[in-house]
Amino acid sequence: MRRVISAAILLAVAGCDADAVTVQTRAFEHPSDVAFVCFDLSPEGTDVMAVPLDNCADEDDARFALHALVTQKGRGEVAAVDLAEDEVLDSDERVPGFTFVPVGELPVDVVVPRADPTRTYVADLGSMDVRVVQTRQFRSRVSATEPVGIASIPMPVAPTDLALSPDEQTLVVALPDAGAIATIDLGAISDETAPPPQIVMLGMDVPAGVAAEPPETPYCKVCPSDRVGGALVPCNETATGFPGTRETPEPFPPRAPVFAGMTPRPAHMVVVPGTPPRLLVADRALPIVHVVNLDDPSVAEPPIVVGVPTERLAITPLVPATIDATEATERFLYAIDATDGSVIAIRYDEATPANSAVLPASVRGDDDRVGLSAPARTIEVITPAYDPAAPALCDAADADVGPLRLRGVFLAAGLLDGSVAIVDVYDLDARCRGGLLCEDPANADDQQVFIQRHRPRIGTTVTEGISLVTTPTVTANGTSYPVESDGETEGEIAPNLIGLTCAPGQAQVYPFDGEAPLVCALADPWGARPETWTASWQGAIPGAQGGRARLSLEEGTPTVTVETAVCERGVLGAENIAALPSEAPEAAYQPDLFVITGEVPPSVPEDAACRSAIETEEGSVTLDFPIVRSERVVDGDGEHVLVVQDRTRAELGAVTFAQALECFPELVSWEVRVQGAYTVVGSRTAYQERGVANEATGLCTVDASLPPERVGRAVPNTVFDNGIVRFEITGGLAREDEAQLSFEIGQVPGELVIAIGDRLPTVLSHIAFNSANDRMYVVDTQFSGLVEVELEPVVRILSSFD
Amino acid sequence: MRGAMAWVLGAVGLLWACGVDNPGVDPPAGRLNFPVSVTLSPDGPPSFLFVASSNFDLRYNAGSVQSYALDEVQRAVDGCAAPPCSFDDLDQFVVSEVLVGSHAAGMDISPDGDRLYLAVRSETNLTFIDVDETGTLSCGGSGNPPRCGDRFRRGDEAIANERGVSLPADPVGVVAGSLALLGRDPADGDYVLMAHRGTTSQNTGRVSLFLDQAEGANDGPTLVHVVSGLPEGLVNVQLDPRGFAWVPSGSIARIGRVGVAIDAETNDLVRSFAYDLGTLAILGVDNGGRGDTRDVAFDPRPEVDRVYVLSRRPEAILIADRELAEAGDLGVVDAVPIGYGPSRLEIAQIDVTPEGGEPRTRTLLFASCFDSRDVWVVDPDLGEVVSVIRGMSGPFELAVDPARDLVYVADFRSSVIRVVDLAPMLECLREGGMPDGSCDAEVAVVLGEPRPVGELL
Repeated sequence: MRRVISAAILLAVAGCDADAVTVQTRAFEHPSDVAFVCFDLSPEGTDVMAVPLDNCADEDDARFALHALVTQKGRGEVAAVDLAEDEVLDSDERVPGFTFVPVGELPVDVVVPRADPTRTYVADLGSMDVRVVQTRQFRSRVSATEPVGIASIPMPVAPTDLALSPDEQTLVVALPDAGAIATIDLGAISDETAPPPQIVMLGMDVPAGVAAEPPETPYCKVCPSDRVGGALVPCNETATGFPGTRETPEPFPPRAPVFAGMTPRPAHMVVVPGTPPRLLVADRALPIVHVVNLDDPSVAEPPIVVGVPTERLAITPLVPATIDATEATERFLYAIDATDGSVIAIRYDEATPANSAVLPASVRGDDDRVGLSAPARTIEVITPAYDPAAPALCDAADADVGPLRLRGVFLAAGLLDGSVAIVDVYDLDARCRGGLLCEDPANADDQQVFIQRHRPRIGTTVTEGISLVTTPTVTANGTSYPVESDGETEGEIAPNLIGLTCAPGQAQVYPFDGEAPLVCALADPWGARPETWTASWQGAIPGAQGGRARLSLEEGTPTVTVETAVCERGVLGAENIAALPSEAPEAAYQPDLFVITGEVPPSVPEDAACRSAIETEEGSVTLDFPIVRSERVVDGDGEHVLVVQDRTRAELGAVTFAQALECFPELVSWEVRVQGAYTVVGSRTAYQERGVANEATGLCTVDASLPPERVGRAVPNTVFDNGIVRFEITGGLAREDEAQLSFEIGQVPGELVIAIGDRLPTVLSHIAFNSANDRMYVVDTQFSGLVEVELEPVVRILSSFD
Repeated sequence: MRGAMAWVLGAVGLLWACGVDNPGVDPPAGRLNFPVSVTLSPDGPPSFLFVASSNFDLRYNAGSVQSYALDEVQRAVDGCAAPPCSFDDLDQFVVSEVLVGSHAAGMDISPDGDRLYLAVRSETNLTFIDVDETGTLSCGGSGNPPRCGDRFRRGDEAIANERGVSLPADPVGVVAGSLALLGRDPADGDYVLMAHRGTTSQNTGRVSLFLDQAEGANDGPTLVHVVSGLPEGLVNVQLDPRGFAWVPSGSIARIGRVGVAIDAETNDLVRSFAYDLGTLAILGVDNGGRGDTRDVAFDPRPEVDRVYVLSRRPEAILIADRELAEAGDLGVVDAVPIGYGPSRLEIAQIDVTPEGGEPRTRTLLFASCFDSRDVWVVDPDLGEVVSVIRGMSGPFELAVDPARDLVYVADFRSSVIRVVDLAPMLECLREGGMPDGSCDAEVAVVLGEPRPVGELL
């Protein structure tokens, strides 16, 4: 049942993939949670004893064996895995196949006290109880001869999570359907009896959020010389992480709260040691994290306002504030946003938890979210080689430091895409990475370093800065032309690029040889992405299309009714543009074009005059009409209307609106294209505009509260800058010309991502860190089962048990 | 060579003697034979359950559709002291029965409950069956049970031919909706969409549009249009609350969507058509390199714009938030792992009001898992499995009856309908704790004589 992965590092760094495909029979059935226990194997037979976990710190001591207990939701059992022997244990060998210890319906959480592991506690969602199991039973090979559990503690509603107090005397149970938690006095449990749980109702008050104050010194390191590709990178530019005011950071305001319900719905819980020890409870309905004093759970403490419902938490130990400090003074709480799976970073206030504030963490997308590549399903803080009492900083001469060695405090996030992302919190090796002062690193390969707290760990280094992969090309009327380093193209109608100056935070990505920049791109390794950008002359506006346009002449005015919310797609007519303030970048747009893309339907007679005007001997005429006004009908039933400008027969090849109406009396497919500009789209970045419908009038306009760089059109002879790429392209094209500029951004440092599935479907359910052996364990409900990951000397998957 | 030829001639002669024009064996009345589809009458609470048997093994010369009186089923559940109680003889339950072509692939009922539509693969047609208020089925033809006549099989109507379209092969699912969903007058009738699998990127998935039941016209559904270019490997079709069709694919990680345009001004069927609304990519989910989705369900709560997708790779219910989705992206935000071989998905709002308490409902998803032989019940708000209903052989399509706290499951492998009593589970949700010592929903009644087939075990 053990799959030993070869010594090759199974890392997927920004898109890399392993080749091996492994398929085999599964013994596990929907594993969901894992806990660890150490067994003393010296006694014979069933007398093996569960002993404190620290006994298993020495892997070479054969007397003790580290085990993992894995809940099997599909079987109502808990499986034991002997991690010392790399073996899944069959708890009853008399039964064919693998048998595990039955614990009740739908076990969702398992807890083994670290110091006194005599008993194991399992929360059963289906059985609505907490089972108490003699831990040694998991090691026994003939469990059927023994009683399975010594107690079943009924819960009033289904339990979903367990947490243990630091003194291991109190077990806390989350009861979402009751809006409460239950506490169980473990000291009162005997072989015969178990005490009833004490129910603690959770509060419903949602106070105002707390603004985050910028740190005095950011936790950040970028080498060499804090510059990449000639451009400043975030450590200097946005080191504080406080967007908007780089030079004079201001408090970061909390977001408006979002509710998913009006009563508490506790989810995952974590315990913060200290005086008093506190329990933090995520809430799937309210935008708060409940704070419970474990010394007296009946006394409610003010909650931490996080702004959104949350489903899972992870808390760090105390860590130093800066890279070189050794006194651990800071603690951070992470939470998964229950509405979208994003991850929030919170500075935890030890004295008054309610003063904890959500931090800005991302340079792209939502400011107050850790920038991960996919929604998170589970998070856990991992602390390899970390002792908060005496952080063991690296030695400057240590040549083993590098992005793949994890020593310190990190957040591990199990993502929906089946990978585990690592987020930097406190790296014991940071001061040595790239050299003490970004000079003469002991590891000669570790020259380029990007480390910033709450940001994904960069897992690769690059020798060059962010750059284009190849020369940009312009395709004009079917022929491709490279853009020379002076910006010229050889095509007769192919547009050229114009030299410009890169904006702060951007790097020159073309030309490669240092001539005047033609294309610039975001240099921030956490904001940049490898992707292909295209700028299409008079291209279609993505999303502004459909199959149900109706043409009409409303009181003689050419009008089109469509089914798509055109305002939100950024469609603007002449009147809409004229109403914009002159400083808005959209004020330079030309009116968009409404284009009929459907064919003349068969119901229109072959000899109809309109048909001959459209279906000419030279081919079909494209029917397009400049938009005069675009709007959402405020008093209607959600209709969207485009008032268009008619064409006259005086225009060469023109088809009038009346002719179009004659040939398209029924619903017709359509799209909107820009006029006199290029539509700019990234392969991983969606087309972006600031379009919105005015609430009062319904007229399409722009949302001025959004950043002005949120534009999707490159106007000829005007610098285009959407905050990610910047270039300027010449004009001179006719309406009927086709031209497209394309370039691919590469050389972007890749984030450290551990691929779990190995080309098999994956749904991660849990991550656990075992401080006894400093390894990380990932639970996959699908094929991989329990995956053991070594964290140093380099991150690698050791084995998996399924 | 000569010997082989003689052997072949001999075999042909033997076949001739056996009668190659043998019409086959009529299915006996009251027999379930590989039930594949179930649907409830839309009255509330539902009066009838309709079950389509596919005749998968071609043991008989036809499949069948039966209507079951649910009050009788309820009585059987109530009277069952030691579940599961089996009823081999279905006479007391079956109100009516007709024969249809073999290999029915899907069935739906008109919004008014007066007509059933079946996608029949063996004959590549849309078969329709009229239903009256007593649950009696009629589709012409004679015999006992009567066999549906040609007039009740559709696919090559005049309008379709005028447009040069014909019904594609390999229908896999069918769904019916009122044209009122599309903003028309209810008197304009209904529309029926049939999904066709498609095998390659060239031979794409397709959806056929039929119109039916316009006031004053009762000639049966008329094929109006076929839209192509949808993802290949379609397996099913469902309507969303706005009347658009969603077609999951068993081959790629995309879900197709189809809209229906009914010309409001001309009111002319010829000018109605189905169109490709654009596929949605299932991004950010680890499917191991190939997507495979089997069904979709839409959250019935108006304030919750979520879509639930039943996925086989990974085996999970994917939760997609349409408010957060970008254009072209389904917007998956979470996944709830379920059993092996997920096949069909239903969503229901169940009353969990405690005795004497404030009215309360709970939204639950029911996923049949063919390979693990169970039905998983998931609370999408909790993101957790709340129960696993076991004791089945090959659960496939299912129907949830919130009025009776029952679920009807077509057990394909053993040719029975399993009636699941949700009461123990709901009692726990309503009152808390385990009032009856268990919170597990259980199979209470088995309708039909189990006839497991070795090849499918």
